[in-house]
Amino acid sequence: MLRNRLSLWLDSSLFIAVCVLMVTDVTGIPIHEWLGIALIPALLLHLLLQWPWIATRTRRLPAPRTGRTRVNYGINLVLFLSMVATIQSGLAISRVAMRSVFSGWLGDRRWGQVHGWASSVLLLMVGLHVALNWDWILAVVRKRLRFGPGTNS
Amino acid sequence: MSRRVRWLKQLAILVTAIAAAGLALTLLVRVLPAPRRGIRERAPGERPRERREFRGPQLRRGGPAVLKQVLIVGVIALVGRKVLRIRL
Repeated sequence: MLRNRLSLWLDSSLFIAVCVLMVTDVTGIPIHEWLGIALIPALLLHLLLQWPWIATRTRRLPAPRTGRTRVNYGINLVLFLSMVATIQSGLAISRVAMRSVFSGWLGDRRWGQVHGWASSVLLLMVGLHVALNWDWILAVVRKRLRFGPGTNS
Repeated sequence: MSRRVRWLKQLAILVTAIAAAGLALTLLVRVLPAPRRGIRERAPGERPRERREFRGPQLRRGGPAVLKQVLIVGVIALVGRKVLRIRL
């Protein structure tokens, strides 16, 4: 119960944060960078909360007749990789938050391109991730608002 | 195994996976060709332009732009849901 509530709040915040991160010309570079860095612990917590799903689906992956599981797993894997690529490339091209840390050994024009491509893939994968988990989102929101398909309130 | 140890173990696996993905990406970026800078040659006698300090993008009003992003993700989710429902 508490886990579901925490997941709902965390996931909603992550969703809004990703949308805000996509509009750099609104937030400006400093907010964009610090919000991106703040996303790292939130993402780790999200993955830790979903660990039972990750563990069971990884075990079930080689089993036959698991088409939906495979597609879901694939989307989540690409989402994870694009998130790592976006954050890493973002740190590499950082101009405010991590300028002195990463500019020496990661600084390269190529990272800018990687950041652009990875964030586009990330946006697409977030959409598909929401699509695949829509039933869960709806169920938890309904539970929180205390109305379901069977009630009239 | 206590809950704390289990969480630490999971966190260690996660951090290892992230580090591995990051390392693979670093190696990939090192192999990729660098993008062309697109600098044109100066005409004879033309002075080089002064390098301007990076000030970030021109800021614009926030609400509609964020809402647009939410809408984009929503449309992807809706289309993805329809397509995945058909396929799976």
